[in-house]
This record gives sequence, structure tokens and C-alpha cells, in this order.
Amino acid sequence: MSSVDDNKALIQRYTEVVWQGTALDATFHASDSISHPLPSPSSVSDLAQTAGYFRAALPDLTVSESLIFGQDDRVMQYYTFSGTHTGSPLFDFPASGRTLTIAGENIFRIRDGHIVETWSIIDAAGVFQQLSAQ
Amino acid sequence: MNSDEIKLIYRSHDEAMLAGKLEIIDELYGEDFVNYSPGLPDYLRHGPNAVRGHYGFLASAFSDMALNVDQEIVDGDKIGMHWTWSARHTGDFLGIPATGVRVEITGFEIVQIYDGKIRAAWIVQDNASLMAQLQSAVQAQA
Repeated sequence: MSSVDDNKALIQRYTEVVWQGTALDATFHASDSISHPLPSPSSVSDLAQTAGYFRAALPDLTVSESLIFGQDDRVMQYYTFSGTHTGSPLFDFPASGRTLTIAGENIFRIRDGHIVETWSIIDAAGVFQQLSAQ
Repeated sequence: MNSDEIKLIYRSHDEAMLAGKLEIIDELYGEDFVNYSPGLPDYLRHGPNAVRGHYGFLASAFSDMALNVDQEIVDGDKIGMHWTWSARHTGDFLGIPATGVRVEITGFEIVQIYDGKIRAAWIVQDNASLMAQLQSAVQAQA
């Protein structure tokens, strides 16, 4: 059994590695881990891939806020990240040079120190709004 | 937080948002309340009036709203929820006139509650899907 504090620390490390690190550490996830990401374009199947998608578009991406709390086997997180859109396209918008700030929330179900299920959302409407603003 | 404090956010949803009893909002939210959610105009961020304005705006565009809480997580002064909101589109919403269709989206909501009032909120909901559902209804009716 993992304690809530251990689970929160796991998600803190996961955030640092997945969003700001240079290598993905597959040991965060159990082998039978399930993801429910929103939005869910066909190219993205889990949160780590979502992070990779945004890191490719915003090469200087940094996580600016991260609010983490938990109960029983769940950890919930609100976070925002910022970066300059100089990399790959975002939702079909080519590199815009704009500085974007994007919010998301996640719920993780954790068993024995591994993530076994993730529910996540990225504020895609906010991305569209920032990229299409005059 | 205690069970009475947990009830504050359920009353906000069930009585104020769904049933339209906007007069109870002053009981539920502190004067210092701040809504940190992305995408909100500044006038919908601060104090109980902002919550009234937000719920009033929803009621002007949607009817027969329902909210199903799929997960609840409580820790210290925070309560988090993963919910499904649905409603019928019966009024102008951001320039889209009533389509009459029923829409449904997922949302994640965190609120901070202490000293008997809701003090802060962080909500990220699938507004991209909401707009897509409404635009698809507009096209189907054209």
C-alpha cells in the first residue's frame, strides 16, 4: 500500500520528468495502466504522449503552477505550463512565436507506487483562443 | 474539511447552478473568493457576484442542466471532482443561437474551502467539445 504522501510525491516527480525532463521513465506506469485523455486526438493515447506533443510545439516549456492533493488511492492535480510556440504545429496551427499559457487537470489512480489509471484534460479551447487572437 | 463544508460545493451545484437559487450564493462563497479557471473574463473571477454572474450566464443559454459527479477526492482544504455536465441549449451562447440540442461535457473541478466558505476554484472543462457539439448542431440545422 502506498500512503497518500508517497502518491503525491510520485506525481510531483512524474510532472517534473514528463513535462520538463529529457527522458520518459516508463516505470511510473504499471504495465496495465489505462488512460482517459481529453481532448483525445488519435495521435495521443496517454498523458505522457500529450506532454510530448506540447513539448515538441513549445521547446522552452516550463510547468508554472502545480497543485497536488490526494485521498486513498487517488491524486488530483491542477497545473499550468507556459512556453513559446516555436516548434511543431499545435492543433494544426503552425509555429506562431506566441507565448502560451495552458491549464490542465489530472486524476491518477495509484497502486503500489505505480500509476494504474489516469483521467486528464487540457484546456484545448484556451489554446485555440490564444492562437487565433488578433 | 468537515462534512458541512463539503456540502457547500454540492449546494452550489445542485441548488444554485441546477435549480437557479442564486440567492444562496452569499451563504456559500467568501467575499475573498477567486476563480482561477482558464478562459474566464475578469469580471467572472472575484467574489460571490462572479459566481452569480457565471451561473446566470449558463442559465441564459441552457436549460434542464444535470451534473453527475464521477469521482470525489478530499484532502485538507481541497475537494476535487471529476464530473459530467449536460444540458439543453435553449438560448444564445457566445453568439450561437439556441439549437435545442442536448450537450454533454466532462469537467475537472477543484475548490478550496475553509472557515465555512468556498474560497477558490480551479475548473478545467471540455469547452472545445462543447463548441464542437453546438457547431455540429448548427450545421445539421442549416
